[in-house]
Amino acid sequence: MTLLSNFISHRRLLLRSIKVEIHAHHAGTILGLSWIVVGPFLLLALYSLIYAVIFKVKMPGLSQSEYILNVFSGLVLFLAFAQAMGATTSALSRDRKLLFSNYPPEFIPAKAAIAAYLIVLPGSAFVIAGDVLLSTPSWHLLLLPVVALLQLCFSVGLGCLLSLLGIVMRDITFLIQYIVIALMIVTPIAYTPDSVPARVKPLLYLNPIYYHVSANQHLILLNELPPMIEIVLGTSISITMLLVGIWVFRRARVAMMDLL
Amino acid sequence: MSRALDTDAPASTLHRVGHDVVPEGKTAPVICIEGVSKLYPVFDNAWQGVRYLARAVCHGRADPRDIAGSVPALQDINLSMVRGERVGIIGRNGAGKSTLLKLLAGTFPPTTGTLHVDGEIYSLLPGSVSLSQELSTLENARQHLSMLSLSPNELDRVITEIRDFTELGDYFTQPAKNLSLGMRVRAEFAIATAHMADIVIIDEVLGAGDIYWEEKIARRMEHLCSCGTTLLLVSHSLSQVTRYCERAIWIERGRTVLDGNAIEVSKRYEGFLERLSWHTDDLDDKTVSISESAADLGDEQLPDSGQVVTRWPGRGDVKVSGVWINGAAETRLSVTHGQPLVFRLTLRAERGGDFRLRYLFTFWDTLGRRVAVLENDVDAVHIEPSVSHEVGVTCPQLVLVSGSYHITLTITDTDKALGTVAEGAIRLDALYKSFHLDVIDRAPVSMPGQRPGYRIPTILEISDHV
Repeated sequence: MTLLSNFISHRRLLLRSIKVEIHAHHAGTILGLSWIVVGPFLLLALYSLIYAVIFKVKMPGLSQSEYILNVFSGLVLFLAFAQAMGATTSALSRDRKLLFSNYPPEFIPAKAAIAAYLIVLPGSAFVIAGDVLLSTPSWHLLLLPVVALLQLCFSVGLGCLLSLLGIVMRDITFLIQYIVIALMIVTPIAYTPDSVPARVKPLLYLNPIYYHVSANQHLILLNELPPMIEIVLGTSISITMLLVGIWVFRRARVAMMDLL
Repeated sequence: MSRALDTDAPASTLHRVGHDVVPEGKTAPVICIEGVSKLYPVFDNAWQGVRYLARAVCHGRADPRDIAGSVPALQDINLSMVRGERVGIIGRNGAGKSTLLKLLAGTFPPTTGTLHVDGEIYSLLPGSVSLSQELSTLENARQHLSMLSLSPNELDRVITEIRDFTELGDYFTQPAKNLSLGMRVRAEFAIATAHMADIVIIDEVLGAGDIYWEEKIARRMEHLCSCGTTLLLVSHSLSQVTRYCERAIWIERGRTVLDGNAIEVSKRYEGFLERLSWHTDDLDDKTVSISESAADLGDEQLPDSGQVVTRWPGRGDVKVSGVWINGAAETRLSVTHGQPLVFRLTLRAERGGDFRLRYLFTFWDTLGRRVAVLENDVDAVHIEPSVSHEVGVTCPQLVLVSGSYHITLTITDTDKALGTVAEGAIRLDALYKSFHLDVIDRAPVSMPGQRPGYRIPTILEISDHV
């Protein structure tokens, strides 16, 4: 618990710096903070247009509208994850000056990751609206914040590691873009886990993002809890990543400044 | 090499902005640095950086020597500061000054040694406030201040105060990219100094600006200093150090050379720089260093009169071997305004001969400003080898107003003075700020805020009937 002590005792500072991060990120743009809403909307609109209207993709057992909803449920979380990865890799060099103050260093990747997750709020609103309009909503929707929170934990943990890698290997800032694209392909967003051949299916479990995407799809589309094995694995992977990430980050602190 | 100077100069000779020096031992130290060394790693390739980081994670400590080459930035630094003390750190580029401040500022551990800080530190390092281009000064200020724990009321007060100080007018709400460089520097300085903590550390951020801003910035600094905060200031400007600090530490190649009274330490440092410039054109040339031969930092005893003075390098054909001021062989004495000032000098020339000499007496105030120079025309002398030649130099009426002054005595060769501007060619000998003069005004006219300087009473003729 001492690993997370700063997050508890300095939570106000963290909140304030997340606000600063978000404002700074959108400063000078015409739409400003509206991008948080416009961004996910554009992406979801684009995906529905391509998959449902142009390609008219048919998935066994899913209607056209259900398929779009399936894509939406996975895409919102994945988009936040991808942005968080990009933001955390360069976080330490961007916020170098904060290291020469009393600011808790682990907040630097943490706030970058959390700020990226802000798009989950409007994104989820679109998805829930879609669920109400196109399908049948259920009480399972109440569990969506839990899934988002778990994936956020995973992203903060991974972000801590990536931010460290970002200062010793600048290559990671290029590499991460390709990793994100690859992850996007292996995550069942544009297809369903059922459409994956049975032999390959266990490999899905190696993808940490799979659990969150799958959970969302279960809660929104199937109106049921994800399989127990996925709940257990997904939760423990997320929490473990958070703790390991922060632990490594705090241990690396002694060498961090020499490398910046 | 490290040694302590006696802080024998009384507090009255220091430019005081706040309270007096807190005597050592009276309060517990707020900053305590013991045997601190800092090595910076030098990596041949990126993988060494990765290994360095990995080792830190595995072993919980970072020592560059385990992985790669290293450069020592600080070696065995000891420093103890009590609450309210103001310390300046001086030294050449790359001496380790900034590293020391960084160690104190944040999560930057030393390679060896311990650092103890008792209280909240606020650090003003280069770039600690860098305006976001797209945000206005107002928004930048809000962002920066939001990292500190201020109440909404306090925040509004500080923002107003920043607005007033910067005098940016409408530009205060314009994106920072539209500001001129001068405006930006002002804005950054104002934001950075808007909030202060118990302990303030400042690294060379008091630069740039015209005279109006220089003075305005200086006043803001004095105000902050007088709030009783403990101050640690790194500056290349010795006048800033003597203005804001009562104690100074001179760091050279990562080691403490001197720690003591700010005026004394900066005088020695100036002397060191002077020696360097005598030997090399590049003041940052690290191959020229305080060698064992200069361990005395220029302190020498005059053979004829016996005082210990600070000798700066000169050609040395003619050297001062004794100085008496108003008959006394002292380094410090009191003189009354308007009274004569009589110097008796003895000179020696190793090889003897005829010389055409000029004696320059330069008077400095305690802030290091040159106040006056007294000089003769030409003194044609013949000096026998190894025999002291006596010279009397009289200033019939001392025009300096009351205050404390240092005197530098320089002897130049006027034969060479024509056709050269190089001081090295004409300076025969110099005793730098070696004599300390306390001037008492005979009939002190009450002049509030009177600064050291001179008053020439005979220059105005007053007559009642025009």
